[in-house]
Amino acid sequence: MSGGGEQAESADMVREIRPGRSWFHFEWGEVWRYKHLLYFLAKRDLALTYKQTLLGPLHLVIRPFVMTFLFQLVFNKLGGISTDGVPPFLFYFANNTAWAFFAAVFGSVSTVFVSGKGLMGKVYFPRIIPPFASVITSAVSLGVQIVFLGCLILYFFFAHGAALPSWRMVGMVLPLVQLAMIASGMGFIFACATLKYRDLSGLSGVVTQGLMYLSPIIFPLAVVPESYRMLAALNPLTSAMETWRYCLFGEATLTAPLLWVGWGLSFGLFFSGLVIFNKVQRKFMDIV
Amino acid sequence: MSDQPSVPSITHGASPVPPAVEICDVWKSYRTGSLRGRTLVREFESLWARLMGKEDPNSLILDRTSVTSETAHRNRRFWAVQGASFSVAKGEVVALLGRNGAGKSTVLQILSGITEADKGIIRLRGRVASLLGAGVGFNEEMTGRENVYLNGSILGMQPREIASRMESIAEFAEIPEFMDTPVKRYSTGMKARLGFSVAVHLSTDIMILDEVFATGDRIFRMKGINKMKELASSGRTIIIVTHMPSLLKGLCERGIVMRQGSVVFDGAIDEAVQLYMEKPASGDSPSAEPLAEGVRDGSFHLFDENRMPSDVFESDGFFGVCIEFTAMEDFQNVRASVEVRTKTQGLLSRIAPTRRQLGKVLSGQRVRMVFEMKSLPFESQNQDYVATAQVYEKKPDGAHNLLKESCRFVVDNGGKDVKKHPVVCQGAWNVDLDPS
Repeated sequence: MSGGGEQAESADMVREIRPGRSWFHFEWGEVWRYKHLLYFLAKRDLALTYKQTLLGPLHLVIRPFVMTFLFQLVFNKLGGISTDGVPPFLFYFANNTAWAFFAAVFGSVSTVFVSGKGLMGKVYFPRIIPPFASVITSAVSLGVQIVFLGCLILYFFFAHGAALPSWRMVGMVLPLVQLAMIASGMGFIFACATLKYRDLSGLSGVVTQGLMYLSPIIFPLAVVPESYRMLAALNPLTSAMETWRYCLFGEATLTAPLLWVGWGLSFGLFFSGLVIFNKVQRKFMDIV
Repeated sequence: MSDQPSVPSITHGASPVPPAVEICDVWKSYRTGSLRGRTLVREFESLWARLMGKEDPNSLILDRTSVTSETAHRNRRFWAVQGASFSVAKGEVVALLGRNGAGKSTVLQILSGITEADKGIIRLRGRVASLLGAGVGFNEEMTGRENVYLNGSILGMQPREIASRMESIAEFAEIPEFMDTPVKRYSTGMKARLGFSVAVHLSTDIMILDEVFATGDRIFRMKGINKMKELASSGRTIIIVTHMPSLLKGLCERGIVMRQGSVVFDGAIDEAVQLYMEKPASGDSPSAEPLAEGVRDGSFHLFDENRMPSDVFESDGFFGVCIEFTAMEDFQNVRASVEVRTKTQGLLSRIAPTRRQLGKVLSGQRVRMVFEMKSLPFESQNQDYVATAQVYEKKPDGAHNLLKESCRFVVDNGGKDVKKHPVVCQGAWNVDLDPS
């Protein structure tokens, strides 16, 4: 039976599975065919989180409010760290919102093999779907928080004469996309690493918390001395957080090199994570 | 496809159409026994030891004492599939049979893309859906309808397809009135029926099914089998794995038997089932306990009232177990017991050894031990029962195992809901030395 003859005879699609495909072999067609699974998995995650809970989605708002109060008390009132001319409450609430999204995406993507083990061992579907579905789930929570953030911005504008809401705000999608890319890129790498070395999973909390203190969350980049700015730029979260606040309040320390380095690193992290994940997922059932 | 001349193509029969599924010389190994690389700390320990020229603290004892590193290396790889090849024509229903560890589940996993083979090529013509267990991914909080959407999309169906089949899925599962009830309120049977129903309504060209018939509801199972037949006659290719091949009678014409990672038989289903049921217990699968020295050709099977090997029994119906082996040396005080378990309930019943059960067995004697029950005291469950037979020699210092072997079976209740608590099995062992 010759290969050419087969192809001519069969109008059906022929799929060949052979080992040792390259690192960059992605089955995008398959992902496209399963695109609806993204929606249904995200829906399931949301149902799992909010059905039969006492406060339901209220948790989404309570947490950033509490964190904001604490940040304002400790870092602003006690520590005396400036907030770039933005009302401290608004400053911390906005940063908390973005950070919660980052932490949620990183947390769910980095544990995707563990949480999806039951499903992935029984049925085939593109393994890239569950991590992306968890990004969607986190984005829904983010959306709810952004609505509250919008209300706060309006309140501060009318009551305290804070920065005027403006067209810049549309741009906030960009830093959020950047945050999602960094978080999922890191998450992919972490998921693959913890598959082999289980003790690494204990590190994920330290990584998230450490990154929070190293990124302009509780302080603006403006308070960082000039000589350390380039070092801070090596953390792609710096440019994302500064852009986020620029879009919301028009106040931030943004330079072209900061943006270039930040976006470059973000893309690098995301795609290297994707490639590693794609390679590891093919045999992950053998390791788990 | 220009780089494939080295790959042999297998055709079954004289079909002019290329087969829907082709598996060519597939090999798959798993790492076993190695402690290395479980944690990063250990990895550094090993690296440090190697750098310092010391013994690796995490190496297996085996590595240190073994004669050659070659054996140690071989011990760390377990070949689950060893050069399996077969092909399935379009519209064919094939049963894949084999004991635990025979490699059939691995073959299915490779076929469905859950894991990747080490070597070999798989060619699939058409869309594939694999269902290794019914109702996978069901969420308790969501309603039946939502779960059908979720389950269907996990299996690769488009929402439009699911919507158009929703009614017949609900109808088939016999729960149209409960589709908007959360699944957590469903009974086990309802859940199993719904999962199965989604599976048989898939529209893919190739279906790979593992143990989806493990439901105690006979009427529903027959319905499922009929639906499968219908699908096959409309050109679907079905590969099905089960531990209970008698369920497949009338559904498949062809059976493939795997043993120790290789295909040992490929042909008529009746012969395949026979070969699978009447297997030697010795070293057949890695999960079976190795036989003690001094016992040969051990086997264990369950049989029905017609004395035919079976794995489907009825609640309150006949149930027979048969253990056979040949003694290669003299034994003084031989006993046997059979225990029945399920995964969730644990030990259900024990067919206990009686005092004058077997006693003395001489070298060269062939032993057949039969235990018959008029009324099986188990209720129907949506899961497998596992019967484990054990033959042992009682010595002053304890029991010495001679034979240990398990069989899986299901209990039918004909669709009724029987609530019954398991009791001690009543009956007597019938021992036959040197049967013809």
